[in-house]
Amino acid sequence: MSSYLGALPALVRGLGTTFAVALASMVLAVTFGFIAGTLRSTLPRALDLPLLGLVEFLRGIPLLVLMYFLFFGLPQLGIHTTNNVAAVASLALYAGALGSEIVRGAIVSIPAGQTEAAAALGLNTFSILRLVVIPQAVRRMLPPFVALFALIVESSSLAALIDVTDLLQAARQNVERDPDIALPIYLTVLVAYFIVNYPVSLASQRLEKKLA
Amino acid sequence: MSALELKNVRKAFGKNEVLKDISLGVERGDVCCIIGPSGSGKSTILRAINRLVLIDAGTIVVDGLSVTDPTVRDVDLRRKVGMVFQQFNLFPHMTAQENVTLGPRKVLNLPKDEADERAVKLLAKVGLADKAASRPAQLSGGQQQRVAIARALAMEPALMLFDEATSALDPEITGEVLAVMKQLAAEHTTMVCVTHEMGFAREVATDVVFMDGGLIVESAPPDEFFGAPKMERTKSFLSKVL
Repeated sequence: MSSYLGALPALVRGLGTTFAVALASMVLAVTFGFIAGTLRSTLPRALDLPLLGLVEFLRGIPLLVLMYFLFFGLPQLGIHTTNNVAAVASLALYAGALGSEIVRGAIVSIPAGQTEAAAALGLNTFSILRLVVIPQAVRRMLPPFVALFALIVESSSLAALIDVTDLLQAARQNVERDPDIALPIYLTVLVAYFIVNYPVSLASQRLEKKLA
Repeated sequence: MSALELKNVRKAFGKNEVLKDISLGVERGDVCCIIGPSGSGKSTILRAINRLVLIDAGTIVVDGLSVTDPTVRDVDLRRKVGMVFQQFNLFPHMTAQENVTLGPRKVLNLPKDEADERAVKLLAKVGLADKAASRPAQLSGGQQQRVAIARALAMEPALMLFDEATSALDPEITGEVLAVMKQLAAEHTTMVCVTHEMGFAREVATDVVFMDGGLIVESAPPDEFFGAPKMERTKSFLSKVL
């Protein structure tokens, strides 16, 4: 019991790292997703192909393998990353690819009549996107993006496997020292992830109802 | 100079020829009503006039500006041409007033107070002075379409296009939109209206154009067109819709 209590500060620090990794990944994923999704919904087919390829590739590979590639593989090309950077980069790419599909889907779901009416007023393509299409599309992106945030928090636990001392890794280290506390420690970790994610998933459901 | 001149305009979507050699002129202050069955190419003509559709051959000139000249910028053409759509296409995230000021502010670069002043006047003109702060979702179809007319007028276009402006409305509220259109006609606004409202065409048109299968079958002033149509195809169409 005492070694369980002794492990708690490390778990709290680990939770902080989980938050930091997840938050940085979200910011980058939203940025990447927005740029890629907007480009993909506006570029002509031929110019869209490289992005389509990148997005489909990222969606078709396991996140953990991407993390290993960035952390263990890239150094052999002389590109050295810290484990935190490799974790954030892989999460951002992975979630960004999903995010770009959210953005693209929302943009193309805005009726063509909106674009036509704006074009008929004389607005250029960029203004039509900025003033008419994206403000409407953002409403439709919110619920899936919130769900994506929850996925990022969950998936960030994979970072433990490249030695990021996140919540899961902190737990592992303590269990290695004292295998007897495995049950309470991992239960605590499960509950901690749930406590972080449940409000996010609730918010997503609420948004979905509100904006439907 | 005519307000609008189409010469030998052709357009195909794939193998489907929707405009086969269309020539049409509209003088300033005239109201041209285009009627005809669905799929006859009526809407495509309107959309070709403001480049929402690019034509394959022929020429279109709007108020001295060549639609078919690629060096003419979209924005310069579209400033001259207002368009009202069947489905209104108001911007749902903006108030009625913001819908009306968007073009003047972002395309004409009017200062906010000037654009607002213009919008207030136009909303009053279409009978919606009290709805300036309403969102489209809070307005009836007829009200939305009147906002859409105000939005198009706010650009002070040389030519107004109405693409079946009342077709999506309940019969009992088409009247409020037609009343606004009649008022514009009475003020000598140059208008091209694709419409199924024969009463409106008869009352306000300078010319009625009957289209079928991508061709203009017959074109005449309304008295002559409705009173003594010459072509068999026109007669059979009128016998069904009147």
